Amino acid sequence: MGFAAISNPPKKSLKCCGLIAGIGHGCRFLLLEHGWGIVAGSFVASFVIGILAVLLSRRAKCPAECLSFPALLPMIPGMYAYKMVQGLVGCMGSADYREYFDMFSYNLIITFSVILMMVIGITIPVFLMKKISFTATK
Amino acid sequence: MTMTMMTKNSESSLDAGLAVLDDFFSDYSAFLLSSGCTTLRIEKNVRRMAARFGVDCVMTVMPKHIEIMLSRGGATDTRMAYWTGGINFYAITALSRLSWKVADGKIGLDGARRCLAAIKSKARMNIVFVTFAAALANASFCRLFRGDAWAMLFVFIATLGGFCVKNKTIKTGVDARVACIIAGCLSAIIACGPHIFGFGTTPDVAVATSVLYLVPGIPFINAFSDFINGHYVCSMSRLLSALETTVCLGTGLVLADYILKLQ
Repeated sequence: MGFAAISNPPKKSLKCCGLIAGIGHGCRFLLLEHGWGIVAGSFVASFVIGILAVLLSRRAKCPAECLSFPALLPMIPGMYAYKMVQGLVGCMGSADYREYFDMFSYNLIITFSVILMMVIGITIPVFLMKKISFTATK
Repeated sequence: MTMTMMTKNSESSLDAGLAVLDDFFSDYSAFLLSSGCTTLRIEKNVRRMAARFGVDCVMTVMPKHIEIMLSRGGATDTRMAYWTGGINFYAITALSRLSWKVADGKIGLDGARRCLAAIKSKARMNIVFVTFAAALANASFCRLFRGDAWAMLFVFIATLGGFCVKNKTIKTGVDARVACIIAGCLSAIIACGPHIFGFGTTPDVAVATSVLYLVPGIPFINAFSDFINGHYVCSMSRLLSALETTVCLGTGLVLADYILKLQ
């Protein structure tokens, strides 16, 4: 809800954002605890978030993206993005070039893969339930 | 938020009604784009309203402007609208609702223009509430990464300080990227408190999570969403903008490390 507030959401949708984000994040946590990778876990969690966002969008009277995008924010791989930049900066003029390059490339791949799979995860329910997704604000 | 419009009429553009419609559509779509809406939804909303008015609509969505060409009979009219602005989910919701009202015939063009003006003038959420909410959220984020109570406290204070400084510097006209570097640097310096004074057992988590509130999550998500829907130019533009912000926050962190000479 705190991260969603930065994007000026409709007040009605704040509770839904919080609920959906909690369920999604809990889902990802359980999957990671059971040995799933972060990319696959994020995909499944974002799929769950996408379905909930589409179903709740009619109640909250706002587009599904207004519920699902803020709910995804806690799952954005910020640490991996930060380590990617750290690796990039460390590559410059450093004796440990290879180590920093490994850090940069690994975190780059993870960051982009996680975000791509998360977006695919929330887009699939929108396409499957097109009528609900694009008539929620009617 | 500022917006300028350029008019470009084709030789056959004789219909004043088309011009007025085009003004509204370009204003509407530019505001929607500036609020962080996906390109797919912009197209759906505008085409829905265009169908109601019986005009054909061709849109070209570019990174910083939208070109809309309306045609009816033999007449055409083209407008370009530029935008600068921040992410605003309230505006996306209200504008989507407006497009349905127009499409269902509940309001006409004049009513739609009044609604659009009202949506544009609606104030954003109280900044004090937003600042505290973001600080709480970032502190919770620190806990998610197994930070202890001291790390959470310093991350809370660092986020409060960084968020306030970022807003104030942007208001004084400083470039948003420089503001991001300054905010990142300040947040990281404050979050180094556990490291410097020996509080708690997870000082590294505090430093690493102190700048995560600056990560441009929505632009990243929008970039990939546009990519999946085939709007590659917009996708690349949003992705580059998001990467730029990520590099800026990383630079702030590196600056903080350099100033405090931490490894």
